[in-house]
Amino acid sequence: MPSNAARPPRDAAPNAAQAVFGRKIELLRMATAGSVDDGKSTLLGRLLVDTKAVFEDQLEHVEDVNRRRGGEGVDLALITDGLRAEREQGITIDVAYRYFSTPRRSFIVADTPGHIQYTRNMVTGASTAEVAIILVDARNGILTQTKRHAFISALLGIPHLVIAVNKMDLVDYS
Amino acid sequence: MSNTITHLQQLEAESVHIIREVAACFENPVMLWSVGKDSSVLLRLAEKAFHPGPIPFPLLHVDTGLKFPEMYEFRERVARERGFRLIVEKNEAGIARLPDFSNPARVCSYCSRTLKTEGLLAALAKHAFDAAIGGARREEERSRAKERVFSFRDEFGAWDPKRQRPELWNLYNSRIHEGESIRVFPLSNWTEADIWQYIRQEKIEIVPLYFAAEREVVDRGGILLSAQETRLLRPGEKPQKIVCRFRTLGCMTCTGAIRSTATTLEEIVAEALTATRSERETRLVDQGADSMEDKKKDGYF
Repeated sequence: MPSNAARPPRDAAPNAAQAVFGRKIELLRMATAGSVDDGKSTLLGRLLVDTKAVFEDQLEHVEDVNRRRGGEGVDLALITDGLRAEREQGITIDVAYRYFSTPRRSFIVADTPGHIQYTRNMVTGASTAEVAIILVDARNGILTQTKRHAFISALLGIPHLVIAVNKMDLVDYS
Repeated sequence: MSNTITHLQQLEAESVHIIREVAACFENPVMLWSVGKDSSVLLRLAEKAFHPGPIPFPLLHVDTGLKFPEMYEFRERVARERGFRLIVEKNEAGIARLPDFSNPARVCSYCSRTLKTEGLLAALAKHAFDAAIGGARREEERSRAKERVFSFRDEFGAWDPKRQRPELWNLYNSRIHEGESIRVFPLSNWTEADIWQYIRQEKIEIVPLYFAAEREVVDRGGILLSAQETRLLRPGEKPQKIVCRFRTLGCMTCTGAIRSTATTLEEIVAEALTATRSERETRLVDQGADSMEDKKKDGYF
């Protein structure tokens, strides 16, 4: 997954209102899960950018924060890591809820923390989910925390689990 | 996941459940009513939650004295027509010490800290409210995206983002000690587009300032401030007549209008869906890094 995101064009949709008022769409609640640094927040940031759910001023802010940390471009994880402590430490501490929609569905996504110390916050975010996306870093494979989050997801009764293998470019996958 | 009810019906059911939980779990709850669009949706949801009975708690407007005249007119008329109990609280001492208006940003930060935050905390303490329902949405701002539906506040009204309580499924923890309180956000999962769709679906009345009309304004770096607040005018400055509307409503000093010709809900939704900038950008007071997180730690909504 590339770490730099181009700013999305937001095309003017002339029939946007009609599309909204006329249709019946369903609500889907998802949660991210998996171990620390497996890319949960980054995946969600990518989904948000690709569905044009991030405003220009929010992306500019994220770029600005990253620049001040000595980075370049947009660090997608910073879109959901909204607390000062999270952005200073580059980790997710508590669950963040984000929203995007497609013509068929309206999505509520809970981005949960991977650290064992914040497991109760992961449980909070996952408890309302109908789908859990469990990320796996291709370099590290299945870790204790991956198993723990998969177990918690099953325990909470989340009906759908999706395993997403991430960072495949770093193990020279082709 | 259900195919038989729409996402708006699901959001509505969730919000109604939350509002009923508050009425059932707390001794002295209150609902904050800012007279804006989200507050109007909240009011409708509260009416639905207890229909055909009356809303079993009062509505509280923390007034800064700086709101738009249209908002005061709307507040008084709606309260009269709908018959709920309305409490209006003002930090009179704070209003008397307002800084001069040559620098609107200073007025805004003073207003936010002294009139809104201190005003709210004083009002909650005066009436000994143990729970306060508000219309904040997680989509609005990055620290709000992190907040629980039942958000615990200590005895100083402060939010500690590192010590949030677990909140599983639709079970909300209402247990608090004397002096502590809970802020409740039934609209947590609603987006701006959801709010507009619901306003249209339910034919909810909103303050006319949300619709485009020709208004007298002054341009402050792209933010159009209302010339109705004459203290904002610089010496010799003539207000311009511009067709515009407000995406959010707050005080006249900090809420800017946007250039728009949207006079119907359909046109407003089309704008909301194609907007490239977030709605809070028209608020002078929310600009600056982490300002909302800091304000919430001080007790702000």
